[in-house]
Amino acid sequence: MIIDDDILNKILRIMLWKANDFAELFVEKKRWEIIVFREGIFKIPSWGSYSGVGIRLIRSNVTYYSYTNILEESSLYKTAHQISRNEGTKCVERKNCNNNFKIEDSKFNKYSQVFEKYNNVKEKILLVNEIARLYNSKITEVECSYTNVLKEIQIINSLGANVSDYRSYSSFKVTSTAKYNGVIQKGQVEYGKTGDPHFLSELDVDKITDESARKAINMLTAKEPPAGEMMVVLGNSHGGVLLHEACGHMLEADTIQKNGSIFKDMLNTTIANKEVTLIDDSNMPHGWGSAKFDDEGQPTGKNILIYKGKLNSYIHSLLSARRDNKKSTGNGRRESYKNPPLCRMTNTYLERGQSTFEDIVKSVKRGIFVKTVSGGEVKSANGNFAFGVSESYLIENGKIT
Amino acid sequence: MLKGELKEVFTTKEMGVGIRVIIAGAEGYYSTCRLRSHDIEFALKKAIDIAKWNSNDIGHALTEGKNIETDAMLPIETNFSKKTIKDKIRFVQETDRFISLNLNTSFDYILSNYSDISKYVYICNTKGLSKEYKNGYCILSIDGKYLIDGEEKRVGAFSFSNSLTKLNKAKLCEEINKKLPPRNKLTSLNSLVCPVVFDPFITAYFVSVLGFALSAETLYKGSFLRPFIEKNVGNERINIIDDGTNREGFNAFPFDSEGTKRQKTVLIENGILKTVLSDNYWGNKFNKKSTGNAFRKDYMNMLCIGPTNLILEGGNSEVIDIIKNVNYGLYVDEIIGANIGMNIYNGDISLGIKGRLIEEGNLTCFVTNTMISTNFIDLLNNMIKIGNDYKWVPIPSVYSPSILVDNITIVGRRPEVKKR
Repeated sequence: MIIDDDILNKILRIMLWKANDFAELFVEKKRWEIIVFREGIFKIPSWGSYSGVGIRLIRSNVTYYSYTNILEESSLYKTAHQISRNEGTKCVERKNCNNNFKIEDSKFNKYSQVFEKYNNVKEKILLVNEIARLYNSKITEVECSYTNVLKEIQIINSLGANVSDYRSYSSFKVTSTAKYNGVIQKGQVEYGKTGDPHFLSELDVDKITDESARKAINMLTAKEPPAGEMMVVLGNSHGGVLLHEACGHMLEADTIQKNGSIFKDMLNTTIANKEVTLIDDSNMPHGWGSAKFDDEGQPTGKNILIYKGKLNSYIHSLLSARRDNKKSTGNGRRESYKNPPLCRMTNTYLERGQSTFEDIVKSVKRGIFVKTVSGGEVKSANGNFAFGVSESYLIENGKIT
Repeated sequence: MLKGELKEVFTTKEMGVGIRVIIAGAEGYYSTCRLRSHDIEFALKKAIDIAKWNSNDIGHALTEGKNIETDAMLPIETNFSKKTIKDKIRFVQETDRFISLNLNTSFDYILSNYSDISKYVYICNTKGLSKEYKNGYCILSIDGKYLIDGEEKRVGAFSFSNSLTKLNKAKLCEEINKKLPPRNKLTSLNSLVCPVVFDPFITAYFVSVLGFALSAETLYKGSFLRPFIEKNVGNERINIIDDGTNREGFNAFPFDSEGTKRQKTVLIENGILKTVLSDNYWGNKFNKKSTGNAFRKDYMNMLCIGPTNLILEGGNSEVIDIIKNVNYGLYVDEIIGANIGMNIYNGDISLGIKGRLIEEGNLTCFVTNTMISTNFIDLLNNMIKIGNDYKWVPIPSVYSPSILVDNITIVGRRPEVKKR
């Protein structure tokens, strides 16, 4: 526990006494370490920690938010008083609810083993360097980074939620640089998991490194693509990035309520081909977005967004659900205690279809197969989006050429 | 405020310390938000542990503090820190009412946003350095959205200052009114090659990316600018400086994140790439002095190289004259994909754009579903006019005008490419 429950409850009572409709305290403690390997040597591992509290009030549909990383009791009371209004004596009762999830301390020890011994990390990274350079002599540089984050979360609110949990995130990234005839290309692969203390020991470094080197080498002989409209085959894995950006964000209820999405007022209408079933699921084991409850203390779960082409559900936080007279879908998420929660996806995927990859490619006379994307941007109000493609191939007469 | 209603109020306060140690050339860094003496001792111990684990690297060095003149730069006074939250809410509400009454068109919605930031930084080291500064600024921005043929168009403006009373809502209103296009028909184009006028905000994106591409670290790793040191990288009109001494920009600090005094650095002069940005570490690697561009986002982050206030100099053309001299081209005032569409290693630019068609020197249809494809070397060589409508743009701090660039490939719905 970062801050004693009694103190948090006292602060909550102060905020509710000041005639606010909703009050919440989000307490976060974060520890991280980043190990980077570059230019043949281990460079500047980054270690650090922070803790802080985000205090949110909603009064007459206005959100008041304040945060501080000064966790002394007096400072928290001062922040709560400042953000509350000094008028009215109406006291809002704190509701009873069953959101009282607490993680046992014994689980913390299991998670803290995620911070594996530093020498094990060095060994893995040196192996990556060796594999990449042996792959092809045109690989001139190998960068590798290993990141570990451990978070402790405490949430208490006026709806009765009183939850705490530990969340761990581990990721491993390899970037190979290939040079030939004045051309420089990079191949990057990243792999991550949550809540897995054996992440590093079970990591298949051969596979990740080969993939990174292969991409860089392939890109050396890449040609400029043709311009114009054409068919696109999106690969598995990275194709999900485009779905997340170009479709998922437009289903976030806070964006819809600001008239910022083309999917406003389209529930139960057909918006996609009937083969499309899009799911947001925060219970996937070790998924990057997985958690037992969201950042508002609401239980998470599986949310079918699009079912056989029909828009089935939006993505809701507590506030957006209240506005639409619905229940939260457990998608109130925040970057840190410094940010109020927004409606955000967890783990989003397209349900398995009927066609094989080979059949899909065969059906395209002229188009592009996009294997990996490097991020993008979407304008949700009109559905326009732009994506960077980091690996793609031309399809001609049903074959990848 | 959104559509005339107060929606969100945020207040924040945080503090922290980062400790960097260098032991026999190996660096260690640890940060903490807890400032009691035993917390600082713990952080120091962790930093030492990290340094001992790290590899030696001779580039690491601290900034000398002894016998260095204290910078003569006056502190930037701010008055907004004395205002209460209620005062600031009242200010935004008054601005929102004023804007709604004085805009020449009705928007689907107007978003009025006020924010301010105050910062105190203290740096000290074992080489006798001990410096501090305080600064801050406040920003008022207005963002309006309306539809043209069902396509969303955004028009916005912002004002920033060290004083709340200097934020000029009348000027913002005037700026938005000037930018409003008539609700003409929407069009998309076939692929072609033509001249393009970029407004100051879009130009700022290009200059900002160039600033990051011109860091010693990026060059060392293989930036597309590497072959151009002391050579022509653009036409003779191109003059870009990084001015750490400029107090008008968003990065008005007397010293960088290592305590090195800020300076003015000429990056490109008359089209020739003169130098790159560096800190102590990269300066040592290239056997040069630091240019005072060590940057740390906050106490939790590591040092990297960052530009201060980037300025594309020499703009003296009226924008209206620039547009009049274009027979067939584009005026671009919005881009999509800025975070991924400009590559600092190979110089490629590939961006979605929105704007207006230019036909016989006049702005006509609203253009959408279009992309531009070029690269930075072509952009710098084909930049034929630089406007005089300078604006400060906070990405992170660029002073830039409109520019006219010839021979830009426009990627439209069909692959026919004709030069216009």
